[in-house]
Amino acid sequence: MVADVAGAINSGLIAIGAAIAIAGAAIAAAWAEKEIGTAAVGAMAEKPELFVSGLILTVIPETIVIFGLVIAYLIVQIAA
Amino acid sequence: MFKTTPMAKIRITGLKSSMKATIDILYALKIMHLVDFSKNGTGFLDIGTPFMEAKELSESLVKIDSIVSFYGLRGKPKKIENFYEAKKFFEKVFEEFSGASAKIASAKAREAELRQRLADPMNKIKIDRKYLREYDNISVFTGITKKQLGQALQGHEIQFRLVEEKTGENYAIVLFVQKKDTEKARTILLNSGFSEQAIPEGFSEEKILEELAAVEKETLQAKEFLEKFGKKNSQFLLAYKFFLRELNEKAETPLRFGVSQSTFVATGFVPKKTIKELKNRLESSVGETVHIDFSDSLENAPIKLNNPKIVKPFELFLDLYTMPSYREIDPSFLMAITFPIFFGFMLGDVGYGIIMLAIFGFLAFKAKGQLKGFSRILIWSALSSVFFGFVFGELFGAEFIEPLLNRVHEPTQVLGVAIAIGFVHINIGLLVGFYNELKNHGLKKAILAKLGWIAFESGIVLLALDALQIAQIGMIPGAIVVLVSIAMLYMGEGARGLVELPSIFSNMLSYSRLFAVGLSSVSIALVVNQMAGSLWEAGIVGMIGAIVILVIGHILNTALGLLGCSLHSLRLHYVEFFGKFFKGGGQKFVPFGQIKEN
Repeated sequence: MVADVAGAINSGLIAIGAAIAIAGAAIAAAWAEKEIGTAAVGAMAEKPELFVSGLILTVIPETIVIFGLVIAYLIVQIAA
Repeated sequence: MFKTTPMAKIRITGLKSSMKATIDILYALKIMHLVDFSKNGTGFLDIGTPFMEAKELSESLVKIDSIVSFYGLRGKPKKIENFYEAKKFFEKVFEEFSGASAKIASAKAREAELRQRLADPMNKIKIDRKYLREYDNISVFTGITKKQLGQALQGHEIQFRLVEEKTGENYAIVLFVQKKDTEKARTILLNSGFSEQAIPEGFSEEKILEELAAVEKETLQAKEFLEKFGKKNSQFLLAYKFFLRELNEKAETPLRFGVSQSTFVATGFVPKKTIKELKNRLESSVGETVHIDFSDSLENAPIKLNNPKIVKPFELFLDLYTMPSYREIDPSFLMAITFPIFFGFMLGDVGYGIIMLAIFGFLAFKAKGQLKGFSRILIWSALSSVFFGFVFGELFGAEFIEPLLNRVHEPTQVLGVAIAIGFVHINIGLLVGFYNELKNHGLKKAILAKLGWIAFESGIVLLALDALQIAQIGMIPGAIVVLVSIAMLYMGEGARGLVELPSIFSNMLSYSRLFAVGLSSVSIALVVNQMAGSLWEAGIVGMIGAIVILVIGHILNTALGLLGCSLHSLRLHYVEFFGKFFKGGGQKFVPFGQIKEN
């Protein structure tokens, strides 16, 4: 019984750890993209041909969230 | 395929008397990319002046543009055979067109005036006009008040006669008071928000309505005429517009040339293999009066991508980004291979692949312009999705065959494959970069800046082999390779190379999105299937609900996957792959005489 509860708490903590990893990364990525996206749309309004450069710059922080996913994944794997 | 079309710089010098003939030939050949002449301080050449007819041509062009845009004409123009006949005919056409438009304009103005008279609130007052005159001892007020006047006048001990009519929110009034009470009445009127307005004379609603009908009929007739007129002449108008535009462009071409008292100079680039044709054509028509010479200086040479038909649609990615510079490798072919692979790896599902194949197969035939190009790219991507669908054994998220690689149950392996793809892709990029550096800055720079990265990777691999105890080689060999490679990078790329050292790993790790985006796509599909599955058991209504959920869910997931996967695949190319070799900044080859669309 005690072991059961401890196990449940353990796996719960692991899940929370993984969630924090991905949530933090996702918030950071969203924040960065918001800043870049605003500027990119502003630039595009002046010069529509900047669309692709704007798009590329905007998706650069996307990598952050993928790192977050990888870390979350590693946490779950290592803990298991 | 990897190289852009070889160009030659060309300079055509000739007598001014041959300038027109030369322009005609260049325009017809459509092989020369003109470089605008720019006057520099020391030269004796000046910028040329347009031919005399340019002014008249551009005036006619404005006229015809107004008609063509009025009718919104589009399409492929026919050829105009006889300019003088066409010109005469156009003058007639333009006269008729502007006559009809003027008629419509004046009819509209008259209509607006009549409607305004009709809407005048003072006309609503029912009073015989003969009472509205000057009196010896009676004052007459006519106009509009904001408040009802009848109550306001009560209890002021003035005698009055009021005719009042409600018009919308206001009141139209005629008020008669004795002359001695004029000032009192005026105060009361002002408090009621009075503004004076005369009652129009000779107003007759019937007459105005009659005239209005006539004017409307006139407008309608003129409009009908214009419509028929447009249908009848659309072919000619379009043809004549393009014809005029061509003549106008030719007439203004001297602005792009350098001229002296009696000679002209035109510079530009032509594809190398067309030199002979150009020479022959010029010699046969203007002969000795024009001289051509070539130079090997290919600074700022324009870029004409040179790819087989199957790769052509992928040139769009460079169009959107930037053209390669002249001595760089054209990466369209590499993208044509890896873009669909990445896309399929992320959206690997037989069902989604077939849906996209149907949609974009249709669009590739029906659509025009950029959408057509995109559709062709996405057909290849959809085929790749079907292929990877078989590898992953997925059909709308459900496992339908024994998969080679299971994305849901073997994520570690899929992640490994994704990073391995990144490793290969980035190293291909480095090798292409090696070639580019070799062509542009020589062997030494190429080895230091590009092979330095590969050496760095190898050093890290050696260290990792030891650290993971796969091979007992000790730390020393790996450390030496790493240090040497860092020195190479410092010499090749300067401090920037050192700052970017970790980027090679983050770049490779970035390819884990191939796994991550794919996993999220599968997960959504699985959730949709599960929701539908549990509803299915709840009887007839449940079955209908399940079908609705399945259809909507999978359509949404296809759309999401289409957008996400193509963007992520594109990003891996633009950021991670191109970063290793691509500088770009080339100017696109636009031959003189190429017809611009609309």
